[in-house]
Amino acid sequence: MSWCHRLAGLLCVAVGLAACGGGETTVTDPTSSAPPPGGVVLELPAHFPPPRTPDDNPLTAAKVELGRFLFYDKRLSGNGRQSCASCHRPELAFSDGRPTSIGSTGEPHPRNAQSLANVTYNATLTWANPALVSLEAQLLVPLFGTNPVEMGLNEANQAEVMQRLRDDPVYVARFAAAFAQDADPFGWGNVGKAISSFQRTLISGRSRFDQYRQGQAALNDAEERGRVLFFGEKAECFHCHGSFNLNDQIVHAGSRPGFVETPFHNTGLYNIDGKGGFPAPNRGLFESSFQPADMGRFRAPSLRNVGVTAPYMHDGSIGTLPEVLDFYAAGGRHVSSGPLAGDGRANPFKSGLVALIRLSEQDKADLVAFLQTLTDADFLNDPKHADPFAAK
Amino acid sequence: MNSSLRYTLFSLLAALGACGGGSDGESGSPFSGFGGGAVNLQFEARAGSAAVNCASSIAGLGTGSVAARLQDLRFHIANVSFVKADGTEVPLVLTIATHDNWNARSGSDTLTLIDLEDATGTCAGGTTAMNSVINGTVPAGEYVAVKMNMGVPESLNHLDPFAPDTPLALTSPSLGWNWTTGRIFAKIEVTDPNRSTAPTWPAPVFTAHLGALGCTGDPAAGQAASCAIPNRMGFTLGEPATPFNPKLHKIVIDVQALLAGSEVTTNTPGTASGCMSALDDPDCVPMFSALKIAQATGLPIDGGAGQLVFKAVER
Repeated sequence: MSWCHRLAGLLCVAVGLAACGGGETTVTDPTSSAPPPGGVVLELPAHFPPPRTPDDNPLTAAKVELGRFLFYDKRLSGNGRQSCASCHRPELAFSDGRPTSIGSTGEPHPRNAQSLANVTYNATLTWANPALVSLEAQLLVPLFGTNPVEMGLNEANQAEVMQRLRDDPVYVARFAAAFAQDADPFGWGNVGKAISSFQRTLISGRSRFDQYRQGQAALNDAEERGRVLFFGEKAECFHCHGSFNLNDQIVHAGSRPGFVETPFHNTGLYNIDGKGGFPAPNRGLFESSFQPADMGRFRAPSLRNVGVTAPYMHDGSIGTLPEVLDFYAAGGRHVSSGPLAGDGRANPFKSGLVALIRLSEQDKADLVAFLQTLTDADFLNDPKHADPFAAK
Repeated sequence: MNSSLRYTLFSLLAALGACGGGSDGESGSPFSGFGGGAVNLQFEARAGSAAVNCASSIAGLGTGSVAARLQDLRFHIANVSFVKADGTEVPLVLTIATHDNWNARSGSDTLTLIDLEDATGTCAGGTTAMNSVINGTVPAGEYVAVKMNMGVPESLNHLDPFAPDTPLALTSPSLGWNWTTGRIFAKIEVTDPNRSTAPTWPAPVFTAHLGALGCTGDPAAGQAASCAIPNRMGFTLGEPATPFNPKLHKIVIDVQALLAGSEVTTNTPGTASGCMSALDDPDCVPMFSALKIAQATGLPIDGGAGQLVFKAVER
């Protein structure tokens, strides 16, 4: 059954959906005059709900394509040294392979760059920030942020950076096409709308696990044992990673205001003071709410493509999937020495879902085998998401 | 501090005339009240009695009484009203031009960005344009005080800075607090005067940023955050014995008083630079005390009575 059938027909029209009866859900470009199946900007697996799209930024092919150029364009940083893709590389499911990232000016970022796969469904964005609930709002943080500097735009250079785009005939045409109604389409609001539109097309739903769910592929014995563990009450991974997107914060077109759950979890990574403390500036939700119980609470990331998004955790402090499983099996991490020493297993704010689990070596190997089935090779290599500036 | 001691101190300050603005050479004849009409409310930055701008050397800052230079000095003033002797508050009718760079309104909320830096010298991160006035009108009446907030009202705090219909006063990127989807209410930064030649401050800049915290949005709506810790400073200048009159007085923001309890040359390790309003940052404690904001709630203490940062002086 498609999500279109479950939702009111009105909603399907409102989000511009076509092909409601088919196995795939599609989102069509409201500005396209092409008859179906023309004008399709997004194809969704049948088990994915239609995504939420802001009323003032409907998905169009022209915005998506402009956004792809901007996403990969280093001219968008103050000093011309970084693009969004510098920390969000498609072959790594739009993560960067580093424990923590480095901004355009060389300033270290305290957090691990997250995958952007299916980011359109994230109820909140970044690792622990309940204020950021739209891609358009989130994008201003890496563009203009000062603590730390990422892309390095500021009051002094913003006009110069925009001029770089104005001076490129390719952008003159693409901005005009994407924002035909604007007398002057060059502006940061439109840059944000275009990049957000591109990000909304980063849909990963063709992994072997997805094919298995749709009855199109089988899992081998180890993968199947891992799947049973993952979704069972022994390993209990599914509590935080059980949705179609393998996380627990989902927003979509049918979400109702006031009903979207936005849990954050302390998994017992640290306990630097014996009172549950995490090291600043990586204290999770606490740094937004300042509520003591929010210490160390972070958003559970989607596990899609987790096989290529190492290292793991908000600070990249666990290098491999087997080590991640050891960490969860132990019910947290005991750091025995150094400035971060402390027994995270005893963190008083730790989630009740993270407890000692008796996992055999076989169990762990099976779980890793299952997690590898979440890799979506089509997504990692999709030419529609690729760098338009790359040498042909 | 217990309440009786606080009251004693407050009474002492009132007796000294600090509330009414009598602290700067107006010890002679008492002020006459304000009869209403056109209002031109002027703001000025000082360190103690010395004027402060991007070109000046500021003396006597912080617990070490060090010299410093300004790096930024901008703040938002909201919901100005004039107060009668009986406590009646009458809102200022804010003058707002078409395409106004400084003033904005949303429903009954009004806002003016006061910008006392000009992007020169050490203020290079700011904007060249400046604004030191709030213009408007109040109906005729006998007014003894002026009351306002320093902060951006919630109704104006979460607008997209790049949306075409957002008031221009809320669009400067350097006043964006994008991680909260809000604005920096007050951005007051001082820096090592020898930063580019022979720096001596262990932390080169003290950043005093006031803004709302504890913000959350509704994912289904995709916008419209609200903040549990508002951090809007409230204050009133003038009282029946020493009335405030905008024709006779201007409002000084005293950088020296704001930072008097702060060690501006250093930063507590593991905390944000200076004070970015964090509840657990020791560097915020003296500043919030001067602002008379309770950090835990983000609400003014006693309506801001006894705040040390704003004072009225003769025009």
